[in-house]
Amino acid sequence: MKELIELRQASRIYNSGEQSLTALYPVDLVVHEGEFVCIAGPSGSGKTTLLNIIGGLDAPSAGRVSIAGEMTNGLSRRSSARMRLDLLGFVFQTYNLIPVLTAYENVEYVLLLKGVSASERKARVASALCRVGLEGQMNKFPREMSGGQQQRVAVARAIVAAPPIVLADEPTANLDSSTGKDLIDLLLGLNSEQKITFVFSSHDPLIIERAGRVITLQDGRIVNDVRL
Amino acid sequence: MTAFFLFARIALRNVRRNARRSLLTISAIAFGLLCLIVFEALKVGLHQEMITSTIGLDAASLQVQARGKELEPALMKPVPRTEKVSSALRKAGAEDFSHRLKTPALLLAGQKSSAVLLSGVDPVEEARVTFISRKVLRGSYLTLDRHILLGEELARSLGVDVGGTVTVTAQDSHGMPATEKFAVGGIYKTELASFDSRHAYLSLRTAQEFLKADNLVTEIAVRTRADAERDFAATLRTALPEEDYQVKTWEEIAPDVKQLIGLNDATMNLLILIVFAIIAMGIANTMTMVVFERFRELGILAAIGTTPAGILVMVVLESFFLGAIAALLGSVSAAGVCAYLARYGVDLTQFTSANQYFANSHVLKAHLLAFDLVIANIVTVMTALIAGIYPAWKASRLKPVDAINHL
Repeated sequence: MKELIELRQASRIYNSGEQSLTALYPVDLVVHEGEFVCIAGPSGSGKTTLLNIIGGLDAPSAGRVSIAGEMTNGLSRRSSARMRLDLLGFVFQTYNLIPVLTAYENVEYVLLLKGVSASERKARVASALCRVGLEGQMNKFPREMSGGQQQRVAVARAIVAAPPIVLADEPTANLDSSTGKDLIDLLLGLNSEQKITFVFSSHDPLIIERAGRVITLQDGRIVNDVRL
Repeated sequence: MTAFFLFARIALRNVRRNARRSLLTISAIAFGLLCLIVFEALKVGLHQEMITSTIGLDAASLQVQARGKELEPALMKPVPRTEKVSSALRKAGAEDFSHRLKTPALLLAGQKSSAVLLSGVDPVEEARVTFISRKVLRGSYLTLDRHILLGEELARSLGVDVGGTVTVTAQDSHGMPATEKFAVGGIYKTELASFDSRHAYLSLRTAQEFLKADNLVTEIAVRTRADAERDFAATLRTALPEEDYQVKTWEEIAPDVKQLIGLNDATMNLLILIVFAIIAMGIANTMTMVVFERFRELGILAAIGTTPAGILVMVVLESFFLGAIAALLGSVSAAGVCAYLARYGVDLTQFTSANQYFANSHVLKAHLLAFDLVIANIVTVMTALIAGIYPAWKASRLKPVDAINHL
């Protein structure tokens, strides 16, 4: 299977004056196409740091990061943004959506950045929102939707441009258990149907057990890497 | 729709997002712009009034005189070959010009006397050059030969009125004293009492007879279109020999007016600079707050693929819309105020009754120039754009990870 994500001795150290904090010790990690990976661990274990480095939101202090065969550390801000637009979708814990855009417009946003034609945008946005079960909510603003619905719109936005990888940082943390379960079911369905590779973080055991592969972090180190 | 229009849509909606803050910012800018436009229009009106008063009272748009006239003010220095001057004026396209014979004189009435500048003018010509003919209170404007026209203040000081007589003493063209009695044919009143008390008029023919100055004039006053006097003077200077003639525009005859206009312009420019600096600071402050409040949102935008340039454009556009809306509001309001002030003006009698620059009228009217309105709007919008650049640049430099984790 194709290697989509590769980390070689990637680490992250935060320096504050004379003090330094190692958020992530050197890790080696490979994620293949189509995997449904959960990065587990308690708070402060380095889950978000690892996701940020994979997603190009933060640069590793050392080591190498490759996405779909392209090395991503050392890219300019513009190139990094372009890389994320082309290869990655993101779902964050909260505040995913642009408040002044409707659900439709939020999903359409990434397609506009990519320069997709109007007719194709319309078709793909409708399809994405339909896939996440929100075809009736297209014209609503985020403030008019529940937390679960907002997360679904975020998922629709993350997949609408058909990226090979979707990263999700604690996507169910602010949702009740039932809604969180539904969201993970949605992601699993997308993973199965469209072969999108998902890498998400969680500390909820009920969510973790749904993953195909669990990478456990503790104190900035990978302590376990299990395929379920 | 391209990404740019998407950013514009987001920016415009963000202006509405915090309506109260946007309204406050827009109102402040609009009010500042309103004040600037109205002040500028009043300044233009003021300058027009000053020029109208200067030109219409006596100076005219320009004068043709004998070379070196000002060097010997007490001497009657006639303009040589007036027909040559008249011919040059007609050739240059002048339609309104007046031949004048001026000399210092002493007026006596009973036991009262007053020193004046006595002007002999052709009433038909002079009426097209100055507004004295429209200021006659009683009697007539030089319609009768051998009748003198006095300012109201002068008449009052001499204790005479229409029908009375005054004795005029002056030096004739041969340097000999000339004395004659004249009936008072008319009383005029400008808005400047000091002028009225020092100027008396005879018809040109009467003055030439009195002063034994056949066909002599000491100046030819010309009225041109507004702002055409410099070009006209340049044309005349090439047509008339420099050794015999001098051509002086009103700016050269009354340099104090020109300087005062320049001073007003400089003061206004400084005020404009200050106001726009305040506008810029206001917008920069607002946009800095906007960026600060939306750190996380901007981080999300960067995370999903918006380039730094895209974020910068988005924030600058929001700044632009603030400025543009304020400019529109300020301009419409200012146009309304200027329309009112153009019609009714501001009565400044209390402050200008003794001011030579308001000899025509003490009512200051606004005159809004389309150019000034357009420039004010352009500068406001440009100021908003520039003021938004720094906060926008800071926003574009945000590291996504720092912005997303911002609390």
